[in-house]
Amino acid sequence: MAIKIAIVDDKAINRQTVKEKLAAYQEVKLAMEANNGKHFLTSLKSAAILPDVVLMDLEMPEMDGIETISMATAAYPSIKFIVLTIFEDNDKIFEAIKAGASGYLLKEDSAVNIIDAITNVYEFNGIPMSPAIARKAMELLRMAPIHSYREQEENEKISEDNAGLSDREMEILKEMVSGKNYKAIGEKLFISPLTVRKHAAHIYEKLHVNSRAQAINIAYKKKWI
Amino acid sequence: MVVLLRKIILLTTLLTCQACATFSQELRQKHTVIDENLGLTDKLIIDLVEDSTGLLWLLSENNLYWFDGSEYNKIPHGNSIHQIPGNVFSQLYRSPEEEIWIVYNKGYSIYNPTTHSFSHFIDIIPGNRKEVFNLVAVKEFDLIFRSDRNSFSVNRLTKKIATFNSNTDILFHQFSKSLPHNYLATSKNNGILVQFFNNQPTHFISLQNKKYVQNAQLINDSLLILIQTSGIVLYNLLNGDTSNLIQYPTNGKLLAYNKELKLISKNKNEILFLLDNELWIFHVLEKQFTNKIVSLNGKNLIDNGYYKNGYFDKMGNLWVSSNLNGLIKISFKTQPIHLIGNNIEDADFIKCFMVNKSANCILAGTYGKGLLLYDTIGNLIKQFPLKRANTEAGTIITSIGQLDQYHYLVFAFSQPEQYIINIKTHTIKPVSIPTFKSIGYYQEIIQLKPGELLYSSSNLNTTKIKWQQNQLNISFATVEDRVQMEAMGNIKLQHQNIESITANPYFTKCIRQLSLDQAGRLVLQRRNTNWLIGTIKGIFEFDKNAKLLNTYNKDAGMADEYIYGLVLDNTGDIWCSHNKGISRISKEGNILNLTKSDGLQSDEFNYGAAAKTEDGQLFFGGIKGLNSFYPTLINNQLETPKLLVTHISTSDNKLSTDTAFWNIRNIELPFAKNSLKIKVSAIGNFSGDYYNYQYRVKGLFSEWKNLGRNREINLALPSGKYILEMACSNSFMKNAIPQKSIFIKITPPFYLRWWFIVSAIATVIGILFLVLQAMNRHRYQKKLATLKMQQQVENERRRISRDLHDNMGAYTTALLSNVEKLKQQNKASDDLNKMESNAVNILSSLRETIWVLNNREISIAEFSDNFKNYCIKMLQNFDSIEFESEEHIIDDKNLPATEALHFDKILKEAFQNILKHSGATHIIFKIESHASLLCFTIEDNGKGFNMNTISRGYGLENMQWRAKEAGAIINITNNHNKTGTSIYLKKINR
Repeated sequence: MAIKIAIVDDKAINRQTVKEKLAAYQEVKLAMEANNGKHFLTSLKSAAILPDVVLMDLEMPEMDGIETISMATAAYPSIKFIVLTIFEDNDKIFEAIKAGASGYLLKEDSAVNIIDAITNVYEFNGIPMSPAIARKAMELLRMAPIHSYREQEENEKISEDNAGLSDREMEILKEMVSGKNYKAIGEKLFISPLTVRKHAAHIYEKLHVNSRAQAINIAYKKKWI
Repeated sequence: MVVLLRKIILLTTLLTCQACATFSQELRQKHTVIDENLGLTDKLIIDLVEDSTGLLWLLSENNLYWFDGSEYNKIPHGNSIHQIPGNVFSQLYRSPEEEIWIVYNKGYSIYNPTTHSFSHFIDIIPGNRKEVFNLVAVKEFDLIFRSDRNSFSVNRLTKKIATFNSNTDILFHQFSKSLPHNYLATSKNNGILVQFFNNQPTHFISLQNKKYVQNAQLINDSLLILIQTSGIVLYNLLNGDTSNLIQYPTNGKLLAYNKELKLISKNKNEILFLLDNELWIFHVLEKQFTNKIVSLNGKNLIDNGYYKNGYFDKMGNLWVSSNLNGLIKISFKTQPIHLIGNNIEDADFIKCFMVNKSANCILAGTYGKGLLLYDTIGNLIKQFPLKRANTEAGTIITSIGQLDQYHYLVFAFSQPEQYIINIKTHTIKPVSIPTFKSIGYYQEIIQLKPGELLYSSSNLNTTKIKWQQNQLNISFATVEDRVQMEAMGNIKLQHQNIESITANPYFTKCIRQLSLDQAGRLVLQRRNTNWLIGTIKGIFEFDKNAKLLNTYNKDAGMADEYIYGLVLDNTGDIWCSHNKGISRISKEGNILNLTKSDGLQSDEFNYGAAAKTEDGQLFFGGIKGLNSFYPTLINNQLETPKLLVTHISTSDNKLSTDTAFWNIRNIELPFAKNSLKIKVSAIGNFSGDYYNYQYRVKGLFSEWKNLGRNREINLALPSGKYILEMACSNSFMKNAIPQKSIFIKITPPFYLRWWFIVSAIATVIGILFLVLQAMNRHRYQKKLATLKMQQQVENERRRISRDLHDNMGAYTTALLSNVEKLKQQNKASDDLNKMESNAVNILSSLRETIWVLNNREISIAEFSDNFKNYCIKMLQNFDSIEFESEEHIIDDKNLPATEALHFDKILKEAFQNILKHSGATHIIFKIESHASLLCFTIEDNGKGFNMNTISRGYGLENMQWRAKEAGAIINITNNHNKTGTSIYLKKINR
């Protein structure tokens, strides 16, 4: 079944570009378009079918990407978000991830890459992190206490130093920072790439947690849910 | 026999009478006739009274005067409070309320001493203008006035007429200020009815026998004087005793035209009678006229006319007015100074004298009247005119020297012959002294001892005259003579002759220390081991080493500095005569000045006329005679007269004030009018001109300034607060106690006033503050503007950045995507690849541009991450290439944007080269960053490169330039142990 996607960008040209790139591929199907956050949320409310993955621009009027992601993930936890950006502004991207995004793409990325990313997110809950994002995640989660919805994996200890991360997760992040892909990481750590993926997904979740409660509050307040 | 007896009795009686007549003593008193020049223009003063301030008020028929101690001030005519209505005045009266009533026809004016002003009640007395009312009695609150026909009473407090009645009886007493006046004596039934206003009983005195009684006067509670034409009768009210007639001591009856006999109380028992032109004191207890007041030379004070009225002031001085001789002040307080001579100038101008007490004679040489011989009391025994033949001019006796007990040598000025006088026989004979040509006025005999005289002749040789066996022997003075002269301790000479006469350099040494420019007479007197030198500039005291010890001159308090005679009394005090009298300088340096007012012959004395007899009596000769006194009897007590401020004016304008000048305690003047003139006077025994005045201004200088006899103080004070203190006395007192103080405040010109200064300072501070504030605001605004501009620049940057991002970025991405699509749809072609490449380049340049625009610093870790991202992305299309990185970032510092860009471009270029040319399968990116090192390395395992064949295409030049720009060095080497290259990029200049 095709993955239902939505594109949210204030510039028509951008939406157009992406649409065209993805048009050829049957793995994905465009379910929704919006030109700003507010529009998107309103559309969601009245939508018959919700999208699976949303490609979200960050700079938008009325409600920017980060706020939208934050609201939407609170209201619709099943939807996955990918930040779509022209230039890599790592700080902004990281904020978006904290708000609930599961990775990012450059608008200039090839269609293949985009499809790949969408698929990754749909199946594995997260795009492989870039070194910059990985570093930021590492720094953030080192300090944060554990609020994991998921159970800890077996045989994983939580060291006192890495309060928010397990040792394994730490290792994986470190390798991500050095620029290795999942395969290379798996080879180095003698685990399968799939395990690496799972760990990455965990890490993403931990990143999401930070402002979730607050977001739900606001979402309720604003009656997005 | 009987005839003889009768004669004897008659003679005795006559003598007794004579004795009686001469039993009354003469009171010789110093008197002064008040000069018209002092301001008293009226000759006849009809009444006098003193007020509570001490001023003497004098009334003439048409004018009112007040005497401030020095001057007589006339009250101008008018109706204002400082004037008196012009009228015919009759009386002055000082009420118990201390006001002065001035009575005139139809009204009265009342003077208030505090305000020095009058209130007038003109035309208040009813009745006809010509009716003359006199004050006759004083009741408890009222004054009783009577004319011939009417009487009225005035309430002293309200000043209003209380009663007005016509007279029913004839008044029989006269009013006296100094004698009781609380009664009315009226003529009744051939007698006198005496009625008191208090509880005393009424008395009736029958006058049947005494037809000649003119008037009655109560002299105390019990005694009434009945005044008759030839004498007085005393009547005792209590017991009715009547005395016999006490005849007037003048020649019989009183003059007819002097209607009123004025009686003035001197003290409890003595009453002064103004009997025509004589002043007699009547003693109440002795019931007789005891003293007649005469002048110092024993004569009546006035020859003709009669006395009109008199008054004893509170000092005890007697003021009497007469119709022809004006106002006379008689002093009862003088020093016991005796006058030898008649006090007539010209006749008694004493040039020199000699006193011989044992022979009871005084020889006085005069200026122009020859030689006079007196006894020591002062009676003239004989006069020797010694007139030269054929000359009108009288003889000037320049000097007298004693030859023996009875013989004296007399030098006459410019006469060829001298004289020897025998005081026993009162004979004089001429004698000629051969070596003398003529005698100079100032050349004097220096007495060594009786019989030995020294004299400096005209050729400046000192001659000695010796009296031996009634002969004069002339020789030259020897050294011993001079020594002896010095030992005598008293030398008089011209200061040019000092060397020749004394032959002692000591005196020259002393004289040289004084700046005496005039040829002056010197009087030298030894005191113990010191010498006193009297000059025209005062007396100087030198010790035996010719060191100046003391100076006695005007500054020290002497009344004058022109010293004539100098004598030491028996206690060692200095007595000297000068042009302003005689001064005594005590051993402590206190100075007492005596003048004419003290009883001296006059103020001016003369050279050579000073002597002391063995018993201590001092003699000084002046222009009107010879004064003698015992120094111990001279009253040492310095009188403290009452100081009065009589006038205050500022910048020539009289100070306008309600109070009298002497009551002013505060003066406040503006700075512009700070010149002050204050005139003072003093009321004392003597005239105000006699006293020495001094003042000091606290706040300006602390010492007393001596005004001398000048009674005017002139001040020009700078702004501030001062106290002017004044004092006066007989002489200048260094430590005087102020007798009068006036607070003076000169308000500073407005620019010095405190409020001005405060407000000026406040204004200045205010202005400064405002200026500072304005400056600050300006600076702040400038800063704000700069910030704003910076902000605007920032905003612009961001806008541009955003625009680029949004627009260019978007479209370029779109372009890329289009190209991709094309590539997919069509065959891969070079053109398409190129297009793709170009689009990619646009995007990357855009990225760079935005980065530069943002101008952000980037941390090394961030930089590293970005580069890794880039590498990974690049390697998306190169599955076969493995990439890893090694980071040793210990010091994660910030790189500035431009530097980072350079590094970025270098590394990317290097990476591209590897991708394109190396054929490597493994790329390692290393970063090493600590405090002193920053190094980037890219290693590959490709084929390496030939150093010699590196061509431009690899962009090496560019890389090197960029490295330099970033302050780094770049090194490209082939690996040692394996294949491939390593590119080192190392930052230097840390």
